Amino acid sequence: MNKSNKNQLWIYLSLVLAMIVDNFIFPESILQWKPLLTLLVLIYWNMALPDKVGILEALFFGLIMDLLNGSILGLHGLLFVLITYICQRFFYQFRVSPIWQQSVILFFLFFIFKMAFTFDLLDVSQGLNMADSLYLTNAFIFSFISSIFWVPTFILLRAFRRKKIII
Amino acid sequence: MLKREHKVSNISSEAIFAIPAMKPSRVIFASIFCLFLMIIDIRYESGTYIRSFSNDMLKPITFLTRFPLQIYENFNLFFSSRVNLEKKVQSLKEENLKLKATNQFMEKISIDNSKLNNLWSSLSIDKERFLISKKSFLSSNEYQPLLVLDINSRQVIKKDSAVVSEEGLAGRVSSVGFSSTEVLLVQDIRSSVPVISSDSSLHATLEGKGLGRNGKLKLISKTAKFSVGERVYTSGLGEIFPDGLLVGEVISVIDPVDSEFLEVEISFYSDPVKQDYFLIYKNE
Repeated sequence: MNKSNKNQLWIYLSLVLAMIVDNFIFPESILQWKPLLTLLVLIYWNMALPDKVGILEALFFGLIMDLLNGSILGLHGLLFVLITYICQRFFYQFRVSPIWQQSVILFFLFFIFKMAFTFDLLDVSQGLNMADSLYLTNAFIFSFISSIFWVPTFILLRAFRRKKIII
Repeated sequence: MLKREHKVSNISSEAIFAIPAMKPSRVIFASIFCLFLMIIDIRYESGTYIRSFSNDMLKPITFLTRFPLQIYENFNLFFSSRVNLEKKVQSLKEENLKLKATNQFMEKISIDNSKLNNLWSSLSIDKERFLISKKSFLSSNEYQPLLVLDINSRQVIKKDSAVVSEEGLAGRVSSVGFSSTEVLLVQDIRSSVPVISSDSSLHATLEGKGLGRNGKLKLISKTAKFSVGERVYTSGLGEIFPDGLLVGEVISVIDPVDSEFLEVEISFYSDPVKQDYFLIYKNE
């Protein structure tokens, strides 16, 4: 196996691992708050090695998330693709900013991500809207925890990249 | 920064990035593809069909999601001197689960008997029509939670079969794969269950509002007399759920000034997060 394929394999492995952790069966109390590690890992690789991770990976892992999560097929895919594009478009600016600033940016990104799921695409519930206070609170806590989790994810993946991925 | 990773400035030793930006045309193409998938799923429910078979393919992943829990349980079992006793307790638990589920029927039947109503329905209750199934996976999707159950490939399960837990109605089978089946939970916003109240005997349709939330009865006239604390059971209308399955209880009745309908909130008895085993009621 050549270096490029090996690197790619490590990246995919980290994404699969994150996806498995994301789908661990957690207690109900933290189910809505747990950070979306797959997206955090995807953002990291987009930022660290934008030439190694792209639209196809975002689309593939997004669709798998849709299948595992039971959401409308393509919704995670679309959001992953758009976030990948935003990360790659602004990765020069994002990468050089301090880690706390990155966390703040990710907080807003995750909040928008969570709010995308409130759209009543199936037209099934009259009471479902963005003013749902419980959902807003959950979205806020989810975004906050995800942004906090960015710091250890960043540090861990950077160590992993320096150790395993040789260009 | 290693020189082999990126070009490195000789002045500041900082990395010099020279990676071209992603082409917007590819992003647009991928977005259109996703939107196409979403429209197909919304219009023709293609996601449910694909998911019923993808659940089998994604089995290794769903298996791994239970791995930490299994390691913990196995660790405990290994160091326990009561392994055989545990097995016996497990089999008794399963039997107890079946009995509890049939008791749900019995409770309703006793009410029905007292009213001399629906006596014949008791004859159709058969313990053997229940299949025990283990929870394979539960997604964290708040509005559309997805429950996947393991099934034996030899078991014939039809779509729309009722799924019950020991506490009450859990949902109905939405798609069947080779070794797993997907359940549309009563908490799901797409779920509608025809119900009847125990004391007032009023019919209504119960809709889900998401995991961890209470359900609501749809279009309840202001003249209806629901009381807080009364139980609701499946009414059997629509012929998807058998009648008499315990669903939940009324926890609040609000009469809003600006609406012509009552707001009746129902607390579901069944909690898929806490349950590991479910019973699939085979439709005849």
